[in-house]
Amino acid sequence: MSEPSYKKVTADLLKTMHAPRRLYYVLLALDLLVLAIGIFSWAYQIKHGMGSSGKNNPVGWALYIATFVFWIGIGHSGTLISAILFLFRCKWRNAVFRTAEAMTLFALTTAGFFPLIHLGRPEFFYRLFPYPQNGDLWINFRSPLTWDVFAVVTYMVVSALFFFTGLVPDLAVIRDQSTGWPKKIYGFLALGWKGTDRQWHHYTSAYFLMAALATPLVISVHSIIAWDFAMSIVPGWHSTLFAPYFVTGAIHSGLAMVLTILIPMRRIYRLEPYITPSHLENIAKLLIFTTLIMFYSYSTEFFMAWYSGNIFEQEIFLYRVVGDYAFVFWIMVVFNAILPLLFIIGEIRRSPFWLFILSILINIGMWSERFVIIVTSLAHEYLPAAWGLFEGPTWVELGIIAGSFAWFFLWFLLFVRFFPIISITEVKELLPQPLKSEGGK
Amino acid sequence: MKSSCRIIGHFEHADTFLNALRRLKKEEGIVGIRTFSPIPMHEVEQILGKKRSPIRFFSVFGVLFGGISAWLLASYGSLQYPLITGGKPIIAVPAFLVIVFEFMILFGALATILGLLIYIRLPKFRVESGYDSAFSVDQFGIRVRCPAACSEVVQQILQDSGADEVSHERH
Repeated sequence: MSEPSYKKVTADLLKTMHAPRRLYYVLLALDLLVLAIGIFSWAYQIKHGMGSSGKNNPVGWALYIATFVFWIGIGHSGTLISAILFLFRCKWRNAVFRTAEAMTLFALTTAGFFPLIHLGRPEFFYRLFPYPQNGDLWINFRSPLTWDVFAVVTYMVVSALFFFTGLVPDLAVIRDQSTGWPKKIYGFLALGWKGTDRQWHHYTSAYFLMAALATPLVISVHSIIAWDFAMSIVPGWHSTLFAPYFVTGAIHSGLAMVLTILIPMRRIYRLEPYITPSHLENIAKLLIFTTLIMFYSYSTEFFMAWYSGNIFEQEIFLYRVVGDYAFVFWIMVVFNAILPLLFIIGEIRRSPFWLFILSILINIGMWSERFVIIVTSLAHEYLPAAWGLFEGPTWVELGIIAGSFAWFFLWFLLFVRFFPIISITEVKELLPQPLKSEGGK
Repeated sequence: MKSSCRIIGHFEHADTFLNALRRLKKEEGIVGIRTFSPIPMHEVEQILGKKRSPIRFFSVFGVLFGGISAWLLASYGSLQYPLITGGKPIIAVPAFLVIVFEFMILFGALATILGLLIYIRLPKFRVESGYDSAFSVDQFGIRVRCPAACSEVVQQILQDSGADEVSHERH
């Protein structure tokens, strides 16, 4: 099969930005409706207090923090694909990294809301930042929750810079292909990029450095999120396994979300020549790897509880398997650590239909994992007299969580409308250069 | 330079473009060579003899600055209101290292982008002379700034190498 020319690649990939079909507006309207429900729910919670979200002793952290951890995790595979696979020189990433990176950014913007929603008094959010507050009291730099603020803000800023840096050459392409006010706007965003030898020389160097900085960052962020739990002495949380376990889980859920988004997108925008079955298969192969680690982590948690001889640890893990939330636990195990092993079968790994179905199941499984970790440990701590159940979910909580998904997809809908969802420049880099000696193209 | 001119060669093929660049680089007296391409090309860097980009020094500076400032911030903030929490010392090395690490990455990234903008001289919103919108799509370009006396030689090299179009600007 002959390779497309640079001109055809440019035309094909810019087509995704053309006037959208009616389906786009229907999706946008639905999304805005759900977002409005989310905003209303949050406003209701602010007015009536945190009790309206079903939070009470002993389960004071519930769906908001579970969803916060879930969204942060979703962001991780974007950096994995854009930075880590870039450092490993995996060429197949070129076609999918833009979408994954956008997903990272939007997932982080969504995640960032949850600590604020959980605050109860969100107007005091600025007290999370380091400055001398009442009586020269600063934030507690020894608290994992403070580390969290630094980690998430850093991750958000670095992801945004990395995303924008990668976008600049493509913005110049759009500028050069448009007229009127879009030319002015894209020209402004492209910063005056011209693709000169000097620009490419420094750009490739800076891009490499950004990838090198983003790689340890992505590992650190979910490790710090894990330490939010592991630094406490709550049974089921207080474990050194938590950081690598969370990082793997984050990549696992993020890769699944990349598939959930890419598969319908390549179909709707007719991007099959660019996002080929082999791209999807490669993501599925990464998922086999993360599934095996998930399986190992789940098993190790139980082994550690048993081998430690600590009755509280043993009790909490037994509670997870047969207790009040056992059905969520089994969803977690089956959807995260067993069903994705079906990707070992080549036909399933290469079938977009099965990839899509399994990716959604993994997303459900990973959200369940966050729920199991948070709710079961809090519901069943040390003192039997203090045991209790989660009093939700309430409509307020569900409305806010639905709204968070709408917020995430709203950004995605805007992104696909105004930016190329596949990097034009990096796809061209994969093609053989046009040569006169070979007859040219 | 009494009077100089700019000559721009447009190429549809990478091999003719690189060939022209090699010949221009060998020619004595031609120094103001600028190329345009839709993708980064290592061959261009080799022919033009580019040295490693100094942006890495910005990154190192940013990383060090971030690390030190985070340590100072955490220590200062903790000493201002010395309250022992979690049984940890006021200056808690392992706890502060987390914040130090995050600031190292944050400032390293910010400094890298700053270095990039400085070295590629962006943002710049005026039109670069000789730039053609096809250079971002599928064409390669060479712009040579040279004394008027050299212009014929340059034009000849570009044409002989297979340029699809050669244009000329006098200043």
